[in-house]
Amino acid sequence: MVEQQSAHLDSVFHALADPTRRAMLASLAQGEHTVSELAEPFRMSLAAASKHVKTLERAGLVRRTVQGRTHVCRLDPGPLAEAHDWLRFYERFWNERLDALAALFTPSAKER
Amino acid sequence: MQTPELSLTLVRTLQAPAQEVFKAWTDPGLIHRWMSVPGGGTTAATVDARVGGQYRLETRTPDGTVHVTTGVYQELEPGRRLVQTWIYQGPISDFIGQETLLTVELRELGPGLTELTLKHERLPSETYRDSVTQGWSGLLDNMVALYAEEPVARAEG
Repeated sequence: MVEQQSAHLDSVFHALADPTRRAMLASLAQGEHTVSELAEPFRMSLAAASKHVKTLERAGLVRRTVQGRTHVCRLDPGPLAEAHDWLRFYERFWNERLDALAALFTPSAKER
Repeated sequence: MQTPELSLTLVRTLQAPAQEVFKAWTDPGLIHRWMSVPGGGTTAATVDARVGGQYRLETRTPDGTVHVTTGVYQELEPGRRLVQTWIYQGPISDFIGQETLLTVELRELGPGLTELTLKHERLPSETYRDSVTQGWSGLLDNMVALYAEEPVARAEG
């Protein structure tokens, strides 16, 4: 079970570890898009865009429905929540450290 | 109404000799190594490390504000004890000129292992205390991390 979760996190972070795929996710956060629409800003072939979409699909971040000859993609944010949970565990460590100077010198600012 | 004697005490164990830890508080070249966070830190320090001598720190917080702190050394026992006034000079208006007292005590637990006790007294309010508690905690954790690094890297840095 733990291994399965870990493998899933692998695929999510792998999917996120690419600027093109992150940009695609940003587009999909605005609404549904076809694969060719996703490809457009990058001047890449449909095949190359499709490969990126597949990686996002494998991570569960994108759902694809086929409508006739067009493939419509939409964002599934579920796996992002898992990734966020993983990161959140560490959040307090850097948060405490980051705020240290601000806390030392601006005690009053926190009240406002 | 004046709240009587608000203070905070923090204790940390550092992997360094007490003399070295003492220097980290009084050497302007060493202060910024732990009094800093990503995007900010003590960018300028002048220190006259003797009883009655003054110090002045300029510390930039990540929002870009440069905070000035001054004070006078009241006790200096290298490797053991440091007492200094800690006066915030602004620019955040609420506590400017408020004199507080900062005491750092060092106790060598073993070779290269020092217990540091920080006491910050005469704090003007509970909000102030809660906030500087968080501040000193983070900075002392920086210090712990600094001395947890390889001693060689530390000497070169």
